[in-house]
Amino acid sequence: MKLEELLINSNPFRILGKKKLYNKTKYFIFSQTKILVFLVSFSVFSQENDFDNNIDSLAIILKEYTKTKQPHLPEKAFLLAEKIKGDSLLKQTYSSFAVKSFLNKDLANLSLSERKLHEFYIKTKDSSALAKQYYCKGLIFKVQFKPDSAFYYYNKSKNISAQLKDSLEVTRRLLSMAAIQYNERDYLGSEISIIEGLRFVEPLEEVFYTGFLYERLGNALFRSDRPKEAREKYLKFFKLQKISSLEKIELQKARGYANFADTKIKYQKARLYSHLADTYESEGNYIKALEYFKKSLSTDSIKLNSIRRYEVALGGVAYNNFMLGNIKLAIKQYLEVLKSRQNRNYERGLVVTHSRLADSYFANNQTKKAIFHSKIGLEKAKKMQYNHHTLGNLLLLSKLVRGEKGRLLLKEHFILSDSLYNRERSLKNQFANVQYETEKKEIENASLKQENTRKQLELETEKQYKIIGWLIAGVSILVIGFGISIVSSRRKKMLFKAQLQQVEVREKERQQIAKSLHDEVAGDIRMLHLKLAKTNQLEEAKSLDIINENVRNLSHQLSSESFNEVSFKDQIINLISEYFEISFRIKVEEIDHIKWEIINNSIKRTLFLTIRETIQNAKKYAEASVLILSFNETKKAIVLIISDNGKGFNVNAKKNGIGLKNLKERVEEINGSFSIESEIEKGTKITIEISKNGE
Amino acid sequence: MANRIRILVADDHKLILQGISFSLKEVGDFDVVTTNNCDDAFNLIKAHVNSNPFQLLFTDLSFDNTTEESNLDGGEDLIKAIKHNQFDIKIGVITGHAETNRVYNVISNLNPNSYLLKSKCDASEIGFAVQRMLANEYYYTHEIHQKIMRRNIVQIQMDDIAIQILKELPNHAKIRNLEGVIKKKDGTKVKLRSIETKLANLRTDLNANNNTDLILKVKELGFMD
Repeated sequence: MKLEELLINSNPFRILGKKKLYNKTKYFIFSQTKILVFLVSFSVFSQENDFDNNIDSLAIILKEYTKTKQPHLPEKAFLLAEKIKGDSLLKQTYSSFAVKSFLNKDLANLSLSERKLHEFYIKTKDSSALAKQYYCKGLIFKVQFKPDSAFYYYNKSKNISAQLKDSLEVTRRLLSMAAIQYNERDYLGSEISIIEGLRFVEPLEEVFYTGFLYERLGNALFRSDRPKEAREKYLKFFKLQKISSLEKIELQKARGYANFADTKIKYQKARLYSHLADTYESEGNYIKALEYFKKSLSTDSIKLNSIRRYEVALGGVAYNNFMLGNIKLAIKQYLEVLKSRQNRNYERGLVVTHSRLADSYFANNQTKKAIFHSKIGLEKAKKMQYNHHTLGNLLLLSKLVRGEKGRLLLKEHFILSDSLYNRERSLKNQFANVQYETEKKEIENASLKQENTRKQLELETEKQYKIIGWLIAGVSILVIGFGISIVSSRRKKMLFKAQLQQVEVREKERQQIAKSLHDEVAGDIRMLHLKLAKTNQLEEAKSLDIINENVRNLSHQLSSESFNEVSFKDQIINLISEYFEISFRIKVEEIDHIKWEIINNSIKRTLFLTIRETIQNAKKYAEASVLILSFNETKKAIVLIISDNGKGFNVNAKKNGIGLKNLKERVEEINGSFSIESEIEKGTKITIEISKNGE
Repeated sequence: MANRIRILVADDHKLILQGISFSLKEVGDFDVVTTNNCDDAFNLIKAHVNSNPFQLLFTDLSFDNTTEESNLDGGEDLIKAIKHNQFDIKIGVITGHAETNRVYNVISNLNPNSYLLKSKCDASEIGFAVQRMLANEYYYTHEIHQKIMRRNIVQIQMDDIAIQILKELPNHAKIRNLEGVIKKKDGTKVKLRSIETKLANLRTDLNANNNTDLILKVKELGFMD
């Protein structure tokens, strides 16, 4: 509470008189905050402790490896990175150690990194990892002094990065490619690569790599005898380098480091001066060149902080001195450069210095020393295929060594010169080819892709058309089939109806005949009978009575009741009772199981007539004692089985009477099936099946 | 005179009409009117319903003098029309039709008081029929009676349960004992009440007075061994 009060009252204007107290309070608050901040940061730190620790230790290993070049370190780092399991971290670690291995000329670890990147790509299918892997391969070939293969893989890596739209990576690759081309004296190719790189990097407004590109461009231009343009590029390079340095200063200032980059600008300036000196030198303006080299050399503490720049500048001074005739001075300066380069074990530089020294000694008529340095230069140049100096040394040695040996050296010089010329040309062609092939492939790929998509589209549309065609065909077949079945079933039904109608019409006709038989013929006969009876002609009357009876029976047989008035079952019972006797029993089975009301009358009529005919046959001819009518109904049809225990007959015999034939015809007329089985002395079985709706 | 029984006879043959009216006059003092078609017969009955009505009608079943213009097409139609109008008149059928189908149809649907066959009929039978009819009883000539009986037997024979009852009846002293013995096709038992109903129906069908009579009739008809 007190503290709060104090805080509220801590306005200095209000408590001027209590300044002492105020100061005390302020200190108190400050220390409190400090502790609080410390606590918070500690807790946050401890949470991310493990992860940070690992990353830190990775950085430490990288640093250590750079310094000590211990070959076991990359593997250790990889194991650690694999333990942390972060894909981007893993990739980062592999590629950064690859670059370091390259700088340390540690081929084993470079290959290891390349392999790891390959595995990583297989696992993740991350194309950027593939680009890195190709870059590593390029580096491996670079270490092995195989510039064409290195160029090939750089190019591959570049293309993948270009596809991934990683412009910075593309620029880096192009920079390396330009360097290879430059080293192989393909200055035009180098220029082209650089310009391509510029095209990629410029939209990024990046200064660091842009600067390098301009430097390389300057190199290429100055090599291809355009010193003025080269100077422009160098100036541009320096300008960009300055901006980049300023940015770095900002960054470092923000991080709290002291004037580190400021010193760097100095060295960049020294670099610029060297380059400018080179251009003047190539113009033959040795005095101006010397002036610039000296400017570069005079940079503060350059020897301590940028030994490379120092060597270049001193070498330049020596050379220009040599060109201006100050040979002794030049030798002295060269020896200093040589010493420095020997310390650094900078092979390429050594080749140059040895060769230059040889030249200087030669000019100074110190043949022995000249031979000594020239031989070293030749050896080293051969080893690393520094062809320019190989040739120079060969030529020099041929001049220095007298007799046969000298002649052989000269010969070797010419042979090598020729072969080198060829190689150079072929390499140039190869570089151009590699790039041209890629471009061509790209164009081809693009057109192929287009064609492919077009073809696929075509195929797909064709497929779709096919499917649609099949569908239409299928549907139409179905429709046609459906139509046909409907038409046929309708036609069948109509036919069936017509047949049923026919049966009905015939039935009416029968009724008509029965009626007239009964009413007219029977009536007339009766009258005759009465008349005869009256005139006492009894014999004739009796026979007439028999005729009358027959006619009546015939009429009864022909006539039948309507099923609408008397049910089918009743009619069947009536029919049976007409024939039923003790000695001729008729059994009916399952007649109640069929709903006769919904069965068409013509069917019922046919069944009725069939049953009557069969009963008559069984009674009259078969002399059966039992007859069984068994009805059955399926979903679509009515089945009637009539069996008796009579005499039976031969079914195949031709003389089976018109009764059976009529029965069969009658049943088949309404699409029924009629079958008869009979065995002599065992009985007869007739099976009739009539469908309910004519199908 | 007012007490004379009025009888209407309808037949398409004149000779038959003469024969029937002659026979009727032989057996009693009746006021006999004849007509040769159904429409006239119906109109006559209708016209005399309130004054001097007919007590009896004898009609044939088939008339061959019906034309397109006739309303009533035969005896069945005539009987139906009379029944429909609920005229108080007893109906007898005199016809040549003896086929069971027609007979059964007429008797079960139109329920005439008598059914005579022309071929077997004489004056005394007609007189007997008239007496029965006037007493509001039924008389079917012997042949028709036989046919109806036979038909009933056939129908009974088709009834599985009826046969079971008839076969088991002599073996049990009381009808109650039949319960549990009579079974339906699916094996379930038939209740006493339905057994009794069935027996009653059988008695009427076979014209039996009681169960003993029923069994005797069944045996007599050769229905049971």
